[in-house]
Amino acid sequence: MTRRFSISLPDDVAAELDRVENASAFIADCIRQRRRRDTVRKMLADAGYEITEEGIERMRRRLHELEGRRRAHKLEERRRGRAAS
Amino acid sequence: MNVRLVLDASALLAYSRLTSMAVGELIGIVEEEDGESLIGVPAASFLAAHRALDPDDRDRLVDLATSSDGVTVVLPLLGTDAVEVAELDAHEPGTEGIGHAIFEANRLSATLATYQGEAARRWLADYEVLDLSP
Repeated sequence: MTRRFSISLPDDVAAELDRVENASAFIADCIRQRRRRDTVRKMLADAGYEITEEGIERMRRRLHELEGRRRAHKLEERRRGRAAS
Repeated sequence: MNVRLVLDASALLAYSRLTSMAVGELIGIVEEEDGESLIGVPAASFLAAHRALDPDDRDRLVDLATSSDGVTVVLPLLGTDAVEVAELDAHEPGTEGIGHAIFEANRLSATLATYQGEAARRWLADYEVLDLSP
């Protein structure tokens, strides 16, 4: 089910909507992402966590390094499969 | 469903007991980086952690696993998958709940976040295991 809204937006935000194909879907996606962010931050705060940007960056580098190695391994497997066939 | 990370019981315990920031940081990363990826909580790992926790700490675990609109999803253990998971657990005594986490990380091509890296790497490739131990 959907509902119809009439909303007012600042010029810079409205210009963004001019560029997308489906403004309703774009706004719905933005709201869902905002809801997800608010939920996660509240859960972490309620649990007693104070996550720092430095900590996130350090962990992000470790995670990206592993994910990069996984992608490289998959590519290598694909290359070997193509070479064998 | 795109599960990017799987947490085993050791990671769930550390999060619930506030003994490390690592899982909180991973949750922050998944929330920040894209709107669709999820963190998987294998049901057997959840049960193992739940059993080991004090009531106060259990609330954190339950909130993590059940928060709607959040970034986590409980991964069920269905049918004959239980046999494979039980065998994995039997091969890794003292690491209760890791079998289901290894199984799901492998099935979903996700990274397993754990404080039991040595046991996890006996079943998964090095690049599939994020060892949270300091």
